[in-house]
Amino acid sequence: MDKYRPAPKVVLNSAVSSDTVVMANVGRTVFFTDSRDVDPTICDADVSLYVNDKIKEKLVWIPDTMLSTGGIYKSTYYPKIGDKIRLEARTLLGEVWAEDIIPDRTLINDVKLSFIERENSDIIIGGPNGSGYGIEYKITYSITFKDNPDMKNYYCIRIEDIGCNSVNGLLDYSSDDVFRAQQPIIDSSTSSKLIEGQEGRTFTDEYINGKTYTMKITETDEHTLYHYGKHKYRRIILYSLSESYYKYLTGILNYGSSTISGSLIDFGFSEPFVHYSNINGGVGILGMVQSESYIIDLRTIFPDYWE
Amino acid sequence: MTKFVKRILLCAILISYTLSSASAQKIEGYVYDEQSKEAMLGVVVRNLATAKTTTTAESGYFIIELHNQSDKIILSSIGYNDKIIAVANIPSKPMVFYMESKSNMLSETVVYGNSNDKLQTSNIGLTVLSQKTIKNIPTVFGEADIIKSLQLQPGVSAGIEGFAGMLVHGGNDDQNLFLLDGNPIYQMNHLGGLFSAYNVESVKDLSFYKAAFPSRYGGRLSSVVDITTADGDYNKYHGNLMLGLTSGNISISGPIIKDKTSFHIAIRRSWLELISVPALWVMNASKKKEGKKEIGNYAFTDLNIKLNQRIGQTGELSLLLYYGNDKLKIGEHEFSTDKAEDAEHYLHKDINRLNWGNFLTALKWKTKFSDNLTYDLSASYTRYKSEQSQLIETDYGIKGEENYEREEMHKNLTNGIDDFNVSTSLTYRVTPNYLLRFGLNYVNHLFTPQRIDNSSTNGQIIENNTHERLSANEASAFIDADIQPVSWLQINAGVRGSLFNISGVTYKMIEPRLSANVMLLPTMSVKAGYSRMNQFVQQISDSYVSLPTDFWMPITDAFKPLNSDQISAGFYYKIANKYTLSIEGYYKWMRNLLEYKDGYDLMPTSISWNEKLTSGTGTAYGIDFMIEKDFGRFKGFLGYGLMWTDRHFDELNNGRNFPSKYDNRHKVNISLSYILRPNIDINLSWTYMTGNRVTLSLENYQYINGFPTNIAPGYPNNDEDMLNYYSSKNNVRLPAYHRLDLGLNIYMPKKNNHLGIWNVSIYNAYCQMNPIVIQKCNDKSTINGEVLKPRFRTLALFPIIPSVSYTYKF
Repeated sequence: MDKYRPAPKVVLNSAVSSDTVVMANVGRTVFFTDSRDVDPTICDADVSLYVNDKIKEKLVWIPDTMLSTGGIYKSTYYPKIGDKIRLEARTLLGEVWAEDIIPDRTLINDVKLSFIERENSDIIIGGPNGSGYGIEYKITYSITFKDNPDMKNYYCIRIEDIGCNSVNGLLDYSSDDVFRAQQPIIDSSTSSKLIEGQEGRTFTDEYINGKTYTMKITETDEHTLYHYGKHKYRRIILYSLSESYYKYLTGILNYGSSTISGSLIDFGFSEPFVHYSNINGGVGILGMVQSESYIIDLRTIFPDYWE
Repeated sequence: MTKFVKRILLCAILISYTLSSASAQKIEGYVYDEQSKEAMLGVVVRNLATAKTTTTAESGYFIIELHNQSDKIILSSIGYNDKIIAVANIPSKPMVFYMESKSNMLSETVVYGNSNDKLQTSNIGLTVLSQKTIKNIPTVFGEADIIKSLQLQPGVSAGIEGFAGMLVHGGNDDQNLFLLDGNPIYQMNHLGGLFSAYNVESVKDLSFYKAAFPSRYGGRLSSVVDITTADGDYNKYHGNLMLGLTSGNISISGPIIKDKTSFHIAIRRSWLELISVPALWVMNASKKKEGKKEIGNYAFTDLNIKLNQRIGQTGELSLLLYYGNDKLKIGEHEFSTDKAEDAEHYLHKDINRLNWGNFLTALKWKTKFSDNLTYDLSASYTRYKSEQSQLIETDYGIKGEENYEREEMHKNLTNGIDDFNVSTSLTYRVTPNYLLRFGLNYVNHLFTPQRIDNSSTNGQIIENNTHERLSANEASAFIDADIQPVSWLQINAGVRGSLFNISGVTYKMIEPRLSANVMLLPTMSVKAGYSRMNQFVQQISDSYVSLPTDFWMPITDAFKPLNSDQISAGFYYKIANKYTLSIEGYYKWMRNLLEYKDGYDLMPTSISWNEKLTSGTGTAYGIDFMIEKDFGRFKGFLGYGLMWTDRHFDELNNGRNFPSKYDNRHKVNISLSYILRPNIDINLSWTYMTGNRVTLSLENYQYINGFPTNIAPGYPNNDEDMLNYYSSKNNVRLPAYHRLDLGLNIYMPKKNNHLGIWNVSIYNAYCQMNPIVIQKCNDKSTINGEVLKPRFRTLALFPIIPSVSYTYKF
């Protein structure tokens, strides 16, 4: 495949929110077979921040060994809702730029929990009196929020544990009409009706415009995991996204190879999904986001929690 | 000016010669099938002394000029023994000739078209295949298949291995016009294209055009597959029963009223349920305790019925019915069990149904007003429908009792076309050397481009229904002439005019067609042709296999009709009276092609389908080479195709040209048949092809990094640590494709002239694993303690596949 080796392109990535200063990653594309050997980060780029078409400042490279990029470009500016943010990056590989507008925030009104207990034949428990099936809990999160009727809204919903990690249990979005309606029928044409999204899932207000909506998401795991350890809290995050960021995240979060569409791509029966990019002259994303978090204690439904 | 005068003079000479030939001595007659007594269309009639040729009309009628009374006339047709007529005294009335079929046991062999046709007609890129030819081509799962037999032709790309793709001269899958006795059908595949949708038992023969289309054909850009369906036998009952690995079929033919009314009926059905139903039953028995049940069922069916009624001496009425359908039902049930924790009754059903296929019914009357004038009139209804639905029902508690609750969600997506078609045509033999055809056609199309019905009972989702139906009117007229002004020159000239009216917009199209054949020697000819084609309906697909998600969409005011111009030229040579060599070149320009826009799947589901599409252009050019032998114990052909094809869409691939996925530069096919013993024949087919192109991400780039999850969500954990970057469409070519298929037929005579036929096929005999895709593999597995690096790997689907079938002919 080496005969197809192309010249690298500049990558610019940033998610801009009013909750933090403007930050960005700058890097380059890497030929796949070199992807573990080549550091794609560019740390000597000239990155400029424009707010509402006026230059605000140059971003500064801040080394950070905790990050896989080895650092990040940072500004000192906290953007505001409605700001038009533009980032430009000049590198030896070329110049890239993108711009977008910070959306408004959508609040979570309420989160309610319920659960059912059931056997799972995939888990066999052995004991002195013979073996039996394992028990699992299926928790249903009912998340209520109000969509703003005055504009087209793009969202992402995420459920994580209190350590900002994705939860251990299997998240399933198939209980909710928004996700069912969004899913191509062909993708539900399997015996498994699961709609996955461990890291979150995007949606729009196409079907719920202006409504107060209660979204249902389930989490299923082996029951003992809900009785001890660090799993007593859940953070539900509702992200309000710019359209560009929605398209970028949808490609990452909603399209998996476990769907029929994904399998068709894997087998070469369908064109691959090309990730959205709004970076002119390169690739990546300048996404705008506002988030709203709601923390809930699972002990409200599992009172026999072992501390 | 001098040139112009010369041309006028030449035309005048040719016309006067044509007209004067009307008064020369001639012989006229009718040709019938000896067994069924049916009139035979397209029999080549050749005067051996003058080399002049003609073909029979639908009534079997021909007339040909004689040089003197000692001339010999030869009649030849595919699947029939040649008949030589020595004319002693020319009778005053038309003579009657019967052609003897080769369909006895020994001749169950391959007939690859008629080599005479290629030299002696003006058609370029025409192949005629008989039912026997199609049946003798070894295929995957041993199912005889129309499309897979056409895939062997040079200039035809087969798409993805195993699936019934047919991409002719760089065109797309939906640019092939499939006609059943002149009536179009839309869906030609079962099960994603693993099988073609038309039962070979109901095929008499087919004519496959890939260039220089006669003007009586229109509506698709790249090819015409004109299938003549099998007629019922007017005299006796017979049929056959075939049992294969994946399906079975039965066909019966015979008289309803002897010599007056006949029928032919064939039905084929898959029997994959024989495996799937018991497997599901076993699985569900073990899952019942958990309160779960899996649902799954798939079947394809096709049914062909043809009734023929003779009317008077020369007329015939026929009724054709075709039904082809695929059904898939899949889903799950979850329900409360007898256990204590399931105290509340609960039942959840989630079922998907996919249902897609064609229905066609056509009534045709054909008659002869005089020996030189035949007429036909037909009316037909064609329906294509693809329906995907999902029904989710949940019951909490027992209906009628307290606290009973029910939730229901229904999703339905339908695409379809209903065509009401009336057509008529006249064929008039003005002189033995001048055949004129004229026809009119009117179609009322009722399109359902995308009917969406979404609803839910819990009241949270606003119902989202789109019931757009578009009515369109298509009218066309053609005039077409076969002219042989001198014995060494044959011309087919015609023009087709079409009107297509939809959404208040009317498209007016003129399609000129011309082809000419110059016989340089009795064994050598050269041809040239030009044709313009238009297409008013296109299949929009986001996959390369045939799925119910492929939607047939009309051209509207948003997009112009698809359009192509193709020029072609050929050289034909008969070597040692055994082999026919043909070399055909072509150049094709395609305009207004439609594709999905990049990122269309990120658009809202309720957005109009028009807004998801973009239009562009394509070109294709190349050379088709073929050498064939179509008689004797050893028959077959060697074909070679050389082709370039690309596309240009302003809104795809950043506006840059890109090669077509099936830009298969070289393609070689060898297909051979040998009669080993009187009751055994063997068949071999070898294919070599430059690999298909694929869109492959060669580079990767990082996700957003360093943002906490309250700012940016995390990313799925998978083997790919970075995102795929796609630089351009169809940027990488797969390795070359090659495959050998073998077939063996053993004929076992039974009592009462019945016959048993065992067919053994081996698909991919030397088990070449031909890649269909290149995948990126980034797992960190180890070999000998060493962690593997990121690597590209290929995926192949079809190993060696033996199959067997048994046919009982009665």
